[in-house]
Amino acid sequence: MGNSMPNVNDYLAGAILANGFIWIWNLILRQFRIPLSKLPVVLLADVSFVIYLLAGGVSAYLVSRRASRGHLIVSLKVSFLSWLLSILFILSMALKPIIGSIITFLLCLHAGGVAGGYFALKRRLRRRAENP
Amino acid sequence: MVDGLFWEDLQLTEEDEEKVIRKTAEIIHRFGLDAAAILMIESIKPLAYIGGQMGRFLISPFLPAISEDLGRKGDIFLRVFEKRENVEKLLSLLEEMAKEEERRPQETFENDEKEHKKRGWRRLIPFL
Repeated sequence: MGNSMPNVNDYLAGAILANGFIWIWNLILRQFRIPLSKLPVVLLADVSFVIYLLAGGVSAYLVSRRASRGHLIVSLKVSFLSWLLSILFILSMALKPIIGSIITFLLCLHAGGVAGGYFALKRRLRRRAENP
Repeated sequence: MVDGLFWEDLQLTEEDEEKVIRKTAEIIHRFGLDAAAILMIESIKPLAYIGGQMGRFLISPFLPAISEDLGRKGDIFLRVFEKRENVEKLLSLLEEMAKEEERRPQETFENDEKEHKKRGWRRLIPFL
């Protein structure tokens, strides 16, 4: 564990995990569109932002845990890959590319990624303090 | 270290560099920003020399306008941290400090909470 870095499989797994969150939330929105239509749109948008942040954060955290250095770079790589994959998903699902969604994914996934990298580094420091 | 004006050729010894690195690490640690600083510095470490040169060109000439002391300190700071080995020293020092903080016994934290002492950057926010 001295000088380990995530490999391509880890990055891809992280990107797919982040898009899994997004895909499940989109599925929920589509399946429950009638009851959810009674809720205010702003609330749904806010929940969507939180879920995208969570998606970016969880995937970046899990991949950054495998790194022994450069946590921010690793988490930003995961976020960028997740964003690229999310664009592919949007293009395959929507009839026309939605610029708003693409920008939202870009911001939320990267913000979540930075937070994920931070928490992974905090965890590493704590563990190294416990087991010097 | 030669005591001169900021534009004079400052000769920094190893001890001077160590002193600057330690002081920087202590300031970062005092504000509880160890992890955030490690995260950022690790990422921008390859750009240390470019950052130092840009700082000298864009920031350094304006610092003496605030105070001569600040101008000299800024120049020293930029000289020290444009060397990648000094950035690495700062990183290892910050990691050591963060580990020491984590090793602090739980009672110390409980005492701090009892006395409502805010630690690190939380001191700056009144409602936290």
